[in-house]
Amino acid sequence: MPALLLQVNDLARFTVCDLSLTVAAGESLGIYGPSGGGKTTLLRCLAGLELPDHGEVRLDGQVLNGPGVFVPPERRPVGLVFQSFALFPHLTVRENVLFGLQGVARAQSEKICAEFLELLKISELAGRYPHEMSGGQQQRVALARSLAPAPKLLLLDEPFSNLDPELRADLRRELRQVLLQCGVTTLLVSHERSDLAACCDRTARLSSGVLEPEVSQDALPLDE
Amino acid sequence: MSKLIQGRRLWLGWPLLATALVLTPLLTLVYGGLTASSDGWNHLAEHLLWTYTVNSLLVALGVGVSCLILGVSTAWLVAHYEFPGRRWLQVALVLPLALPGYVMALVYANLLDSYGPVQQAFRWLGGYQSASEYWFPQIFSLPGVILVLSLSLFPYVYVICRPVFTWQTQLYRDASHSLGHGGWSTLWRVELPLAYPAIVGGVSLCLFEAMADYGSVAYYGVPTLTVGIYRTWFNLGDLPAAMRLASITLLVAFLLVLLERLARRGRYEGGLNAQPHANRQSLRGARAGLAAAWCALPVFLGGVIPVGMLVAWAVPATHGSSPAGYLAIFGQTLLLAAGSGLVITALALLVLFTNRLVRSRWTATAARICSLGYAVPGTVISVGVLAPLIAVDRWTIAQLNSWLGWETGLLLSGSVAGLVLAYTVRFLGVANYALEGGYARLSRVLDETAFTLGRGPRDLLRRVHLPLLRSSLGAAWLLASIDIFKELPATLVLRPFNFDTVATKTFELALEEQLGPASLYALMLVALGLIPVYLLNSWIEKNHARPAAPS
Repeated sequence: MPALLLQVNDLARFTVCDLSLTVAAGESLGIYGPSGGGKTTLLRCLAGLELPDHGEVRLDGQVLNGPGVFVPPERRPVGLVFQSFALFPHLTVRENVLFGLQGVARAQSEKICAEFLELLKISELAGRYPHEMSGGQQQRVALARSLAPAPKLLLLDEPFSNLDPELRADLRRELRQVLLQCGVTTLLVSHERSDLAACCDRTARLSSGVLEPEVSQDALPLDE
Repeated sequence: MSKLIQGRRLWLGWPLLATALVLTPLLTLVYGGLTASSDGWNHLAEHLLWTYTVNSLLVALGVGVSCLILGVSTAWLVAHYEFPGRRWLQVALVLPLALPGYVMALVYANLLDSYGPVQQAFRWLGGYQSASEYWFPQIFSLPGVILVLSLSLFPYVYVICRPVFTWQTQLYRDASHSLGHGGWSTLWRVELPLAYPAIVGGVSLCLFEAMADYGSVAYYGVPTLTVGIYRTWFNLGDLPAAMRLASITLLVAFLLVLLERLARRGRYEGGLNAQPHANRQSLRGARAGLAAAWCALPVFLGGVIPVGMLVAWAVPATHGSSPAGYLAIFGQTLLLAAGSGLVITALALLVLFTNRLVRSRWTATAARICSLGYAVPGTVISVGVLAPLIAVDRWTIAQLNSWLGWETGLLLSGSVAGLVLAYTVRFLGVANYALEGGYARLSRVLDETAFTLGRGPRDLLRRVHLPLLRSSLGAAWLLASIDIFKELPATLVLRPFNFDTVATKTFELALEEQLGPASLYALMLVALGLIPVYLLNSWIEKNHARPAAPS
């Protein structure tokens, strides 16, 4: 049984009520549920972009949130892929990926950048700007950028919602492979159950801020 | 205070500094207004205060009404109707904004006074021998001030109303027509009420500027509050009385701000995404001629004629005179304006960045306070800045004397630093306004992305905001710098001894009736003033040509 990496206890913010969950190292947990159910709020609290009303967040033993403790987002080993990808429009693909590699020697950061561009099959786009790419390509860049600093926890907020259905199916498969290859612990939220079925080890439903008993992958219907 | 700003508290120093800079002179005036007393003040209050106040209000009222009529009518005509020259006039109607009020005053004084070309022609046509034989409107008068300021300021109303008439009210205009209402009925019952917030905004700007004017009223000899403050300080050397007068002017300025807020409260603020005019109604015959003439009139009176006259007066002055003196003043002013503009833009950026970073009510209020100075006349600000500077100087001199035995003169008051301080208070709002537009278009998700990638606030500012806000920063710097370049009253009061700017030189030479050199300096002001006019036109096209801008 792998060690627990993420522990959330009694977290509350906006619609999220006393939520508790655990994720093991290397595991990918998918959370689905209706819009407004608190999925994005949960991710933002974990990333440090939202201050919970109360509750505790521990990552790899370190308290990120708790009584008297708040680690700002830039000091958390947590990566977040935004729903809109949020690529910096004034930076090329390569510069976007290098943005998160501060404190790494130049040669090393270039090497890491090249590796992730290769992994996400976007090496040939390295010199392009975000507006010169399709939605699918932008999503790959956003993923490469979040993975490059080697976060302990990767958060994905509706990563496929801006893509057309065909591309969506291809990217789900690829995402699963990339996550496995990197071995990064992942928390993915989506309102589409089918996204989770393809990418996650296990899932849970978050509705009106309450996390319902977890559903096993086999019992998971493909769509509501 | 929220834990979200842990490690970011140092940034709060910027809004604190900016608020202190803006509020210190204003609070000094409020305090001075309540406590300062002198014999000069008793004389002022008894004999002159009423005249100053009434004249100021009459100037503001007259300019407000004229600008309302000129600005709204021209904007409505070019938005809805096709007539000869419309495309050209649509752009040209902004041009008079490039001429400061005191330059317009200089032109019309020399054009319309008894020795000017207009009265000379009048005498020649009427066969008169001298000006005493006929009646002619006196330009050196309150109506004269209203005329020149209206010609210079009406584009504020035009610029704000034109996009509203062109892009925002069209859907409702069509609906009104389909319900059987004609042009006039639709204008009164639909379009003007919809454009009301824009009209109030534009007219308020004209009122603020008219209240703040010193150059035109001083040149035309109309005693208003700003003239009174200047005379009380410079001619009588009575700072307490000047402060009390300035505090009354401040009160009037804030009453105007309050009136503007009240007038706009609860009103619909636009946001319609109708299609712009696909086909304007074509006017023919006399109606087309009237529309073209009405729109061309302010362009000629406020742009073509003044610039033409300035060129005509300036050309002879260039013969035999060395350009070195002019260039030195120009360079000196440019350096002062560009440098102060840089300080102001940097401060505005840091205030708005901190507000975005911290997202608290306090920082939002600080950002609003920073914009207050724009509603306050330069003369008032200069007195508000001068009093604390003199106090600091006296204290420093006493300390230097008692500790080190040094004897020095005034250090800060009458220095370039004092001037930069006054400009900062007055024009921080201009830079704020330009940058707020840029920030509104910059998604907060980019900030959050930078944080989740391990970058702190300094990196966010340097590597994300600075490159993405480049054009807004450029616009903020340019607008603040050009406003400083043209600024007259604060510069007159606070400049170091023997220090001239293009604006002070134009004004002083005009007072000395050295028309040629004054016109040369005035043309420098107009040339630089054309830059924001160009920016304004591009802004209207860029921001309103596409009704639904991508988010």
